Amino acid sequence: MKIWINRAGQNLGTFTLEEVQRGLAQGQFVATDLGWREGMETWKPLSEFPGLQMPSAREPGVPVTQPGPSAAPISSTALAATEGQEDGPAWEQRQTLGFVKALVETWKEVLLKPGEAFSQMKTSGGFASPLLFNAIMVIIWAVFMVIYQLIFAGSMGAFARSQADSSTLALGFGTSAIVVILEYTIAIPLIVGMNFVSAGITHLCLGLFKGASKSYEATYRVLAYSYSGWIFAIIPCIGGLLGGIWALVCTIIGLARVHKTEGWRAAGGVLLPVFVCLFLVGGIYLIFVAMVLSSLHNTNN
Amino acid sequence: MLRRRLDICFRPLAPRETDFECLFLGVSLAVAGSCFAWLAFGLPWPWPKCWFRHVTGLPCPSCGATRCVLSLVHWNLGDAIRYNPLLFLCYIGTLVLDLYCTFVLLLRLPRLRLPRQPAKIKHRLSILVFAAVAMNWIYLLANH
Repeated sequence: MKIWINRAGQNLGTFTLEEVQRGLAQGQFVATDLGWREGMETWKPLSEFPGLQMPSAREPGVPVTQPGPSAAPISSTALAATEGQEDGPAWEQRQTLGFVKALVETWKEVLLKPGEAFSQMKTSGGFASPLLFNAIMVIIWAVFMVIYQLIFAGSMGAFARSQADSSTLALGFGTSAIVVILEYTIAIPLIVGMNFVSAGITHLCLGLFKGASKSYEATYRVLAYSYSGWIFAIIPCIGGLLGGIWALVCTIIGLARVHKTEGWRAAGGVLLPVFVCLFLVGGIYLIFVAMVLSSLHNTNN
Repeated sequence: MLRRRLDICFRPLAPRETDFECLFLGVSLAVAGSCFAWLAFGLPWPWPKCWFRHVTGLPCPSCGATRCVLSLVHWNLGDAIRYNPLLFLCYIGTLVLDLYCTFVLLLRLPRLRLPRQPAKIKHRLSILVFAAVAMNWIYLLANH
């Protein structure tokens, strides 16, 4: 019967009793880790787990650096994340840095040094932090989109209807402003929610290229923090396009670093749906061109 | 037997463990609510129409998504399947999962969990999903 092991809210995997005992002896598990197996109502610390013998007292969170060849197969990323080797970006430390400073530092890290930022990114620890960051970026984007859309629509409306009754013009502008604000307000949870779907599709495509070495949560975190590029929405007209392109680049770099895979696999995972569509479009046009050339050749003959 | 083969188990959440059921329910309800509000208010879509359909005149793999969900909401299952079979299955799957999440959250039941699967199985699953998307797209193109 397998035992589930959990440390600080993160599942380390399922192991047999012998593997857990070996892990305890070699320091990969500690007495404060929680264990559960079928039949138990709640999780228990390994120190209270029936059938396990505790080794001599060891400092928690300090595993033996060179486990033996028959060591319990714990993913190094699981241990590294819980030991704090991967603790970035700055947004994950917002309790100590402060909200605004953590936000700005995260933008600077992801936009200016994406490789370094994603190499040190925490790959587990819950969805709350990246979700909150993603939501804030989408809200910032929406606010600027609303402002620019209202300014642009307002100035065009005023120019086009300069002879119109001012009260009618004001009513028209007010109504369209409400519609624009409502559109973007509804779009915010939609975009944030659909990011989970995008992360799922990206993770699947990455798996097709054998580039996914970590969990879906790691992929979602990369996509969420890549939304730092949406800060370019501050720039009117082309800001959205710039931000989208840089977010895509950051996503590819981030996936390569986080999943410790080659860049082409990460790019393939992100761009596969686009490649498939382009391939089909290209194929259709080639067939069309071939048909035209063939009919011209038959006409000449 | 399937449960033993896949090592499925029902277990309680560990302290500080991510509550995936709560997360899934929250996100799916937020997305569904946003879409409903969008359609209920009759707001125009702010983003461009499907570029693939615009360029080629052919349906993309997700074409029919809106018509499918609208037919589903009106209990017109035949039309919903016809518009996009794969997305129909996704919507039904999401509905089933939402019901499961609601039950376990309300009744504080143990959670369904799978241990980490080997990379080989994940790779095969990815291929299966890709094949399903491809077959669905072929169906949409054939019935265009």
